[in-house]
Parts: sequence; structure tokens; C-alpha cells
Amino acid sequence: MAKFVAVAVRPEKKSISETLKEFLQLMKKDFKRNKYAYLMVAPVVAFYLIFHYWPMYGAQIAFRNFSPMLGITGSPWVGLEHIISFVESHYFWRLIRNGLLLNIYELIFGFPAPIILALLINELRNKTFKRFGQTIVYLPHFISLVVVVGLLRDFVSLDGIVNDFLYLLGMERIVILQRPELFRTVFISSLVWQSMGWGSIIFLAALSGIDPQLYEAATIDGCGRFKKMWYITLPGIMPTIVILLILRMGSMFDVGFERIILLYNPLTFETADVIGSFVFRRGILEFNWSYSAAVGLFNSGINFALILMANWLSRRVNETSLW
Amino acid sequence: MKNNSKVIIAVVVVLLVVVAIWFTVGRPPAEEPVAVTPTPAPAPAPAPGEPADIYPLDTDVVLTYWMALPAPHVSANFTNFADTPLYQRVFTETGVTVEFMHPPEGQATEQFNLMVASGDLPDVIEWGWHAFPGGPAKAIADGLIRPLNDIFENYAPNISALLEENPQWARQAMTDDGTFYMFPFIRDDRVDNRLLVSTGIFLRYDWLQALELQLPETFDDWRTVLTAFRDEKGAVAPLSHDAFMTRDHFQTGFGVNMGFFLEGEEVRWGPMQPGFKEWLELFRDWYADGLIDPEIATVDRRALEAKILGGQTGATIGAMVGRLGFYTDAMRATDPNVKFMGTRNPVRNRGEEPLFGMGPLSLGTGAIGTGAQAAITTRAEDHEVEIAARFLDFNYSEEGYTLFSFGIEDQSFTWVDGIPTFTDLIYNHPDGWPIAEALSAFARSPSNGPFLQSAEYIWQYAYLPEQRASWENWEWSMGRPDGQLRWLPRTTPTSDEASEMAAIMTQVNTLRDETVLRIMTGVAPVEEWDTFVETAKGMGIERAIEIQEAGVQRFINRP
Repeated sequence: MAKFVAVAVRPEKKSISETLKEFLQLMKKDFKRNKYAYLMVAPVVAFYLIFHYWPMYGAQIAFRNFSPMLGITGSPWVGLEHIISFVESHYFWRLIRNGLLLNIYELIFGFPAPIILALLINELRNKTFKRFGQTIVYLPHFISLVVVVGLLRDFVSLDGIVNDFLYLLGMERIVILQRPELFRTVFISSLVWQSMGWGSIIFLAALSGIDPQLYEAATIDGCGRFKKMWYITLPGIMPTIVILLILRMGSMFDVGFERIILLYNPLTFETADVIGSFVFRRGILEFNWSYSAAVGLFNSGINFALILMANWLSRRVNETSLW
Repeated sequence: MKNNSKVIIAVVVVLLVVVAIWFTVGRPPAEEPVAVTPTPAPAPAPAPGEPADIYPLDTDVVLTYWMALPAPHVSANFTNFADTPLYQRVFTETGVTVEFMHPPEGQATEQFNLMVASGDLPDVIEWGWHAFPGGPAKAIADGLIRPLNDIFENYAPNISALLEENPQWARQAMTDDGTFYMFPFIRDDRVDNRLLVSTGIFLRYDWLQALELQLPETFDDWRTVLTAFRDEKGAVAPLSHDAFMTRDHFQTGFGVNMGFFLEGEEVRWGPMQPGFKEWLELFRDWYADGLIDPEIATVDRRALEAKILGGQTGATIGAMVGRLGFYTDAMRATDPNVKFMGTRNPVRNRGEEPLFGMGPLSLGTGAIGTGAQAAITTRAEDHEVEIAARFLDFNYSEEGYTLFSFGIEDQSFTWVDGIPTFTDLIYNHPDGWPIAEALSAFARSPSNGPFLQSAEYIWQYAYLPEQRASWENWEWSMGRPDGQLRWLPRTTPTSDEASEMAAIMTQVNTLRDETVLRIMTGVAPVEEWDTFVETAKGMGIERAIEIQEAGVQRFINRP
């Protein structure tokens, strides 16, 4: 297969108005040729403009003391007060550390899991079993988080299945949810179990795009299953993996706090308390729009910086990058 | 040309899909369907100065009234408050038509904030104004609700008379500068505290009797009882509770609680006092000996219910009707001997008087309940304000008083020796509705609202003899007017104070919860309490105490 390489040609210097004119002409031509494509994408673009870009002006409430009655522009300006209050809080570093660690563990265990699952499903020969297996594996994604955590809490309770198992192995029963050192395990396991199946879909889609001739060539060359996976399959889905990894970087600082507040308790604050859950508890004491907006902005700022770095790194290391 | 028409069809389909999505997703959540009762024939104009005769009012004003439908007692059977026999009667008596607007269940706070932010206000809002950021004073200052002092004087003679005769209620229902802002929910405490104290420690009385033990009074008694529960009754979690961090009942014996309290006119923070360390040592011992549920930090309401109903727990803390009554009903189906009983808060030495109390009536820790109370918004125009005020004032008139606490004569109650007594319709509803639901169709006494809750209703509602006996024990422990230590009155911090308090207390409470549980479960030594106090001071707990004191001073100085 031919591989196209983009070659940069240095353009002659032009004035701004000339460049604009050229651009507009290009747009007109493209529009005439692909007007239905533009029509189809118009609602999506409108959706993003209206619901994602336009509301950004409201982020300024992070720098004000917002009161619904006074409106956004009518609320008094306080500058960085909320962000400083947040950063100076006693638990700031613990919250950041917990959030980061949970994300890193999720990356280490939760990112490869769908890939491995996709690879395994791909190897199945029996079509019925393949479809049946896939459906079963997707199902946990659709179960409500509260139900999953409810089941989990039953399983790890003193007379639950996990403790029964420990007892069988000769160990003492322990109150698992009260051990900070076990929190991450419980959290990550439930997360991976629930999202693994759904996450494998995109990799299965990428896998179907690999040319079967490559596999045939490999068989002729004497490759076994495992070597085929290593030399053909994995490199084939590598661009997908890299793109998803970069996107994942953009949520390194967000931890789904709903799962956390359903699973944590003061004994596990040490490892479980993250920014989201802390701000949630503060929200119960004082319904403060501006404070949570400030924290959210702080989070987004860091996530943005991370995603830029990851993209730059990826562009340097290999040719795949988001932009 | 065939290609072209295919494309056109495709585009049209796409547009239809977009439009369909816009209309389903883009709409705000549907408000409950509105039931409008037709107004009765207008009555002749009333003579001024005779409040009893002004109803039914001669008006065709329709008031809009936003409130959360009481769940589950009312929402189980009605979708709109106007459908209930209670409000049908209210509309007839007052002559006013009201359009109720209810947010979907569980979304009250969100919907309230959206409503306020949109500026699209109804005439009346029922809300817990203490929870409004900055308090009721801010709600008035921001132009959301109207100050009611003049309105009470001109249009609301019933509530005005009540507040004048009972200044201790008036002081709880106003802001610090004397402005009234709501038609309050008043729990009648003029005779005793029966409506104010409804929660406490209770245990399996049938087990006590089988073990030939008395109701425990001291901490040593408790150790004996819990040990017996553990050894003789197989209770693996003898003492358990689902919101452990919010309960003070075992701490009051040491002169402390989990939050702020008053000693004289000074505010103290319980976890900082030396008595708290004593309590921690005690509970640490109990936990190590298996007298407290090992899962105490993770137990939730559902798990607690399972433990009690399954016989793993013999003692807990909870409400008279919602927990004690509920468990009794659930368990008597299979074991008619099950009996729960409330105990007094334990003390160090037998015969000791409790240190905590409610304080003098003037301090008023609680007649004005929390929960939604009705305010008139700025959207209501002047002629509508009068109608709204008279409509709400009806609740405090004699007919309104009986209606809102007991319901409709000859349907939900009958007069027996001058006391409204619930009928069989309430206790044995033909459709099998539990008492709370049956009563809630006719009265608002099981929940809250803008009315005076009668003291006569509670013993008919909590009708088990052990509920009343439990209340007596709890009242002794928590309700005395002459307690040396008292709970704080419900102060109204300014919005700056509220911000500062939230910033400090979020951290302090996190530290408190962690430390208490770590020491109690043995993960940390008791000495950690000393460092805890230092850290709390570093977080600003003393500044928080100052803010509370300022609030208390302002409360005491209310006109």
C-alpha cells in the first residue's frame, strides 16, 4: 500500500486580504461541491457553538460572588479569592494526590483492559459465542452506577462474598470499605469491570480495519497467534490507542466523584477524598455557585495543560497526534 | 434526478430528527399537570376588622404557588397538592384558587435555583429559607421575597395575633433586624416539647426483659446490656447507626456534642472539649470489645434496617415514627413480641442530671421548624399580595388550625371530648395506605408547612405506648429548659460569614470525622485527639466560634 507523506512547501508571502480572498473562494468551491455534507454537520457545529462555546462566558462567575437574583454581570467581582481559598485549604495537596493517583491507577489497569479484551474477542472463531460474549461484556456499562455500587457494597460487607472467600482461604474477615489501603483496589476494580466492555468497542472497530492479507502473509511466514498479535494487530490499532490516550490525558484531574462518594467514608478519606467529593461536602454547608465554578475552572485549566503536553509529546515521538 | 430526490429525502429526515431532538431534549423538565378548582359563587363583601367573616374571599385572582410536594407521604398518591381533599377544602373555605407548581421529586434544590436565576417567579414560594445562601435577609435584599411586617399587620390578623402572644416564636421567625419574611411552620411547644423531641436512643426491650435487665442509665449499664446482647442474643453489631457522625446522644453524658453548643452566652465546639476525649476512650473500648458494629463507618439506612430486622443489632438511634415505629411494624408481622423502647442518654454516675437542655423558651431552639415555609415573592403584584397573605393567613385561623393538623371533620377526624380524634379512615385506610399517607391527604401535620402544628396530633400519630414512653426519656435527656449547656438557636449568618464558615467547617468536619473514626476503630491512639485539637485551631475553628457567637448575639438582640 502506498504511504502518503505530507510535504511542506513554503508559500510566497501574501497580504492578509489576498489570503482571505483565496480562503473564501476555496470555501465557496468546497461548499458547492459538498453542500449536503455541510448541511449535515451544521446542527453538530451549532450544538457545540450554542451549548459549549457560548456558555463559556458564564465561567466568569468563578471570579465573582454569584447570586442568582443579581445575575452574572450584577454579581460583585472578587478576583482570585475563590481559587486562593481552594488552594490554601488544608487538604489541597491530599485531594490532588488522591485524584491523580486514582487516575494513574485507572490508566495503568483500566486503559489496557479494553484493548486486551478486544484482542481476545478478536481471536474468537465461533461467531455465535463471539456475539453472545460481546453483549454480556457490554451490559455492565448500562447498569446505573448506584446499583453497581450497591451490589459492590453487599459483596464487600462483613458477610459478603469477598469476605467468605477470604475466610475460605483461612484469613480473618475484614471490613474492606473501612481500609484506606484497599479503597483504590475496590474503586478501580468496579470501574474497570463496568467500563471494560463498552471501551473495547472502539478497539474492535479499529481491529476490523486491519488488512487480512497481512495475517495471511504472517501465517505463511510461520507466525503463531501470539506473534501475529504482537507484530500486526497491535501496530494496526496503535494510532487509535495513542489518540485515546491523549484524550484520556484531558481528564487526568477529573475523577467521577459520584462513585467515590458512594464508596467512601471518613476512614478512607486518606486515599479516597478527591476535589469533587470535598467540594460536594462544602456544597452541603453552603450552596456557593462561584466556589464550585472556580474549582471546576482550576481543574479544567490543568487538564488543558496536560492534554497540550501529551499531544506535543506524541507528535514528537511518533506521527500520531490530535492536532 | 433520482439521486437528487434521494438526497433531498435524506436531508429532510435529518432535519426532522434534529427538530425532534430539540423538542424533547431542549425543553425544561415538565412541571406537574395543573389542577384548577372552579371558584365558588362570590360571597358578599366582608365587614372590615372581623377576620372570621372575610372568608370565602370575593376574588378571581389565581395565585401561583411553588413548593416541593411532600414525598413520599403525598406524592405516593397525588401528583398535585390541589388534588388532595385538604386543599380542595382550603380552596372552598378561602375562595381563592391556587395553581400549585411542583418540581420533580429529588430535584427541588436544582429547580429552585433555576427558577430564581431565571427570574420567572411565582407568587408564593415554600422553601427552607435558612438554606438560602446568605439567609433570608439576603433573599430580601436581593429582591426575591417581600418583607412581611406591613403585610402581616394589614392582611394577616391570625398569624399576627399568634406572633404577638408568643414573642419567643416571633423572634425565631424574623431576621436579625426584626423583619418577617415567611409564614412560619410553628410546632406548638406551649405545653411541652412533644413536637420538638422525636429522636433518641432506642433498643430491643423484649431482649432486655428476656435477659432480666433494666433500661440502662449509666455507661456501665450500657456495657452490661451491649455485652449481653452480643453474648446471649447473638447480636454481632449490638449498637449501630447509619449517620454516626451526626448523633450526640452518647456524648451528652460527657458534656459535649459533635458540633457547637452554648454555655451561658458563650459558644463552644464540642470535639475540642476534654469531655470529648473521655467519650472517645469509652467508645474505643466498646469497639474493641465488639459492642459497636464493626462496619459503623459504612452502614447506611438500608444496611441498618437489615441489621435490625435480622437481629444483628439491638440498639440504635433514630426517630420515634420513622424508625422505631417502622421497625416495630415490620417485625411484628413475624414476631409479635418485638418491642422497642427509647432510653435516656447515658450519664457517668447514676442519678446524675443531664447537662444539656433546650434552654429557656426565649432562646427558642426549635419551635419554628426547619423545612419549607411560605414566602411571598416580589413578583406578586400589590392586589395579589393581599390575596396571597389572606390565603396563607387562613391556615392560622381556627378552622385552618384544625384543618391543617387534623384534616376534615367527619372524614379524617371527629370531635371526641373536645379533642379532634382521628377516624378509622386514617388507621385502616380502605386502599391500604399507611397512616402517614392517609393523614397526609387531609392534613399537613406529618410533614411541615405554613401552619401551627397542634400538640394534640402526635400521640394519635405515634400511637404505640412505647413511643410515648420513649419520648419521655428523650425529653428528659434533651429537652429541659434549665440545661446548663444548650443547643444553638437557629442563627442567620450574613453571606460573608456563611462563606467563611463553610470554608473553615468543611476542613474541620473532615478532620473531625476522620479523627473520631480512626481513634474509635483503633487505627490511631487516643493521643491523636491532642494533635487534632491543635490542627483544628490551625484551620480556624476559633474564628468559626467567633462567627457563631456573633450570630447568637444578634439573635438574642432581636426586637
